[in-house]
Amino acid sequence: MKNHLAERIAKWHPKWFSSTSNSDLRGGLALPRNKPGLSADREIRTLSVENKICIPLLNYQQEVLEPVVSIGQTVRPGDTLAAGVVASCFGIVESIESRAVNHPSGIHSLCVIICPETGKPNDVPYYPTQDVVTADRISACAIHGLGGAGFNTTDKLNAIRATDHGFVDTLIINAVECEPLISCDESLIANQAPLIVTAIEGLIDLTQCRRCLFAIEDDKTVAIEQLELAIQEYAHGVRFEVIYLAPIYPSGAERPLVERLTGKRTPGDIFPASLGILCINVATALATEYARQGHALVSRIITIAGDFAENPMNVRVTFGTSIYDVIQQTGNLTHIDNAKIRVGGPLSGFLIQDLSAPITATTNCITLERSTKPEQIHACIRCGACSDVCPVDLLPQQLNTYCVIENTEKAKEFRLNECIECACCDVVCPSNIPLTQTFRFTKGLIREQDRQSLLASQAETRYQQRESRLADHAEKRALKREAARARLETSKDPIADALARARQRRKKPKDD
Amino acid sequence: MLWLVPDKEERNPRMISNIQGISFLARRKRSVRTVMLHVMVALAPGTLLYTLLLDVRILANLAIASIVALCCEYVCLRLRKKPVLASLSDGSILLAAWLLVLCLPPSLPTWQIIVGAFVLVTLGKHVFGGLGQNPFNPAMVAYAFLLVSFPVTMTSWELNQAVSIVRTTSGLIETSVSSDSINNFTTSLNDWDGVTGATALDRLKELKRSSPLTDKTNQTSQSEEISLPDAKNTLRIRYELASDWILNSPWTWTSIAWLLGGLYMLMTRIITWHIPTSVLVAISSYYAIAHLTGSGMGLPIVPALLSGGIILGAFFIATDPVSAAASRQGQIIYGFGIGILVVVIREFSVYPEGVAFAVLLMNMCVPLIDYLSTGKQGTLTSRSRPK
Repeated sequence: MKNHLAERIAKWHPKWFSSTSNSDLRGGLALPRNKPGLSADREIRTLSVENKICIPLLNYQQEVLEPVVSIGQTVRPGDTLAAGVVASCFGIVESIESRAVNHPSGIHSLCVIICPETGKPNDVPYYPTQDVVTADRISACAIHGLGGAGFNTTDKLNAIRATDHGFVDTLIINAVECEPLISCDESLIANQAPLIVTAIEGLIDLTQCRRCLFAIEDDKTVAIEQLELAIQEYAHGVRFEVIYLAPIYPSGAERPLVERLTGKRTPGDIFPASLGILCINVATALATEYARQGHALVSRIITIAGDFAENPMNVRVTFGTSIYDVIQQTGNLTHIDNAKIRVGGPLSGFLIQDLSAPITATTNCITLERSTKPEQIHACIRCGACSDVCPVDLLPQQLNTYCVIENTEKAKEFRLNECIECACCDVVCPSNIPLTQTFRFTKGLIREQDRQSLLASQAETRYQQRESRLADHAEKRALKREAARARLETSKDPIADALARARQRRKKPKDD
Repeated sequence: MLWLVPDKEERNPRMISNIQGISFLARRKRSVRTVMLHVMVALAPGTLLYTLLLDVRILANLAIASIVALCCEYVCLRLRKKPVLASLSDGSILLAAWLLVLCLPPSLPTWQIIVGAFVLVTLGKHVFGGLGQNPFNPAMVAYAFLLVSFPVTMTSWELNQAVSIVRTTSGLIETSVSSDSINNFTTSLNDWDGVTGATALDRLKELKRSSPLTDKTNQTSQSEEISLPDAKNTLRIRYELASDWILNSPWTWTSIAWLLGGLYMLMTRIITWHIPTSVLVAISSYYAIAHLTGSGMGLPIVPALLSGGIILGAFFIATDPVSAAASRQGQIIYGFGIGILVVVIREFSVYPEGVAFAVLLMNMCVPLIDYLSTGKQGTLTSRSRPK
């Protein structure tokens, strides 16, 4: 009874009982450790490419890119398909068409379909090995963030150069992965710690940062053990500091993490890069080391787990493999009809309808969850539980009222753009209000409105330019006409003049 | 260019993803019903003490008010074409009726309780659009309605369980002073067959007003202290008697039970410390100043807090999340406002107790508090935004 009570109190007030000093994340949820995907032998299986590969021609801002390959062309891993998009396997471009992509609304977008050539290994370097990794190489190898947002790493580096600082003050290697079920980064560290240490040192050299922090939760015992061993063995002096954080969800989100480690708060409209802080996922860091060795970024580790996943595991998957193929090849197909498939973790992920959607750099997890009856949604009783858990200090209940009536001005005022869509508020809401869903929708709405106003302003500029051009034109013509009329009026014998002009014209070709 | 805007259908409640699908999260989840149940658990010991020490009729009143409120809720929901079962079973209306009954005198005629429950559901809740939409605390709306409609029955606290509570007080009188007014006061307390806190406050107020010296003392508390030793003394003794009486009455025990219930809600995170603390701090700071400056303006802090409905109001009524301020900073302002208004109404108006009106008045200020403490005007947000 007593223990039970203590347990309850610990559940309600996790921070009173937190052992870690670095637990000053605002809000968040203390969730039990639940990483079924980790294997005891620390091995990571690689899935072979069997079916057609589908590479969406989208950048991280979800803009459609222009393809630079044509149908029938042979490609190899590392070949550019569009700006910042590379082929992920050997094969022939079969078609370029609209396919379902990874998105909550199940939209279709332009994709390159590659028919893979069987029997060819994917780990052939595309470029020669460099001594130190360069920004050009990172750009050429199409390194994207393997965390959540999938930012282009080159853009991140450039953004830092463009700021007042001009250099990287703090480089943060983000190995915090506190969402339940997801364990891809953890397995990666446990598996390839020495290479990660080398990669981090390469990044320190590249960015010339003042200090480098490696953030990891303190409950990843195996990964920490491997990492410490690797640091002892491979590191050249103490060049970066490992910071252990309490495993409170969502510690791994960029903005809360930056604030927690450096004390600098990032407002919604700027990126941490503007403050001189470069935050890079640990898998991305490793990808830069592979880039140094000449490999383009063509695959990533994803976790497959959930109530209906029979064989939860971490596997290395080539980009463009369909979600269905991943589920099938990992042997989780048994309950596929009853399960709901979520791309991303159980909290931050979104449900996907079309399983032919391809794996991309941002797909860190596939969750097969039990589909239960949706809970009844009650009215908001303004209990404030959502703002207590919000890691970015928002007022989700207020925000929700504005988002529901689509008052985007008010929503912006209440800092909707700072929402990291962690879904902590959904978890604690006693009325089952789908807050994150609404925020995601309204963010899309604001983007659409911004685009419309951009288009409108572009159209306006175009119209104004055309108007001034026409006015210019009319003025010039008027001047010309004026000049001709003046000439006519001044000449005494217009007919003789015209004859003389004609003679002159006839003479000219002879001169040439 | 293609911009990805999720379909509108995605927000259809039937299509939404449910996080509860992951079994370990389901255990963390707390529903509206659980929240209400926790509050009811917190209310139970105080209600039990009320029943045992003061009046059994409260149970009958509770039953009547609950049934009427549920029936009215059912009718309102049907008229508004809302899901009936979900709203009836979430317990919010039961809780509101319960709080209302705790504020009413047990001797109130049944038909007036029925009117109160009806007003609670209709004027308190459904005219504004049901649960979550009401700007005022429904129980307090009903209480205020009854108080202004039936002032006589609403202020006569006849308790049928004669608890001999004045014994200590009488003993004190014999040994201390024998002033007429004090005797009057004591007899007036004794006149009631078991008196209540509200009545004690009532009598206190009445006597304070009737005494010609009191006003003088109020105005010239510093300069004429020596010239009016008797009056001062009389008043002080009167307060001492009242506080002694309050501390020895069963109301103190119910107040302590409300306090324990409030602590239970704090432990289970149903409420946070912001509102109750700021209410209590505001009230006790007035009494502390009054007491320390020796102006004899009021009771000592402990009996002042334990008398009347302050504890119940601070922990159970002011914390009603629907009608309270949204941000934590706003809640502190809201709580202080309630505390100040309680003191103002209790000490300087014709009403003996002011929790209900204080809560209603501050409910009116909530939109303004929210406007000032959140959003763009959010000068009160906890962190300043970097430029």
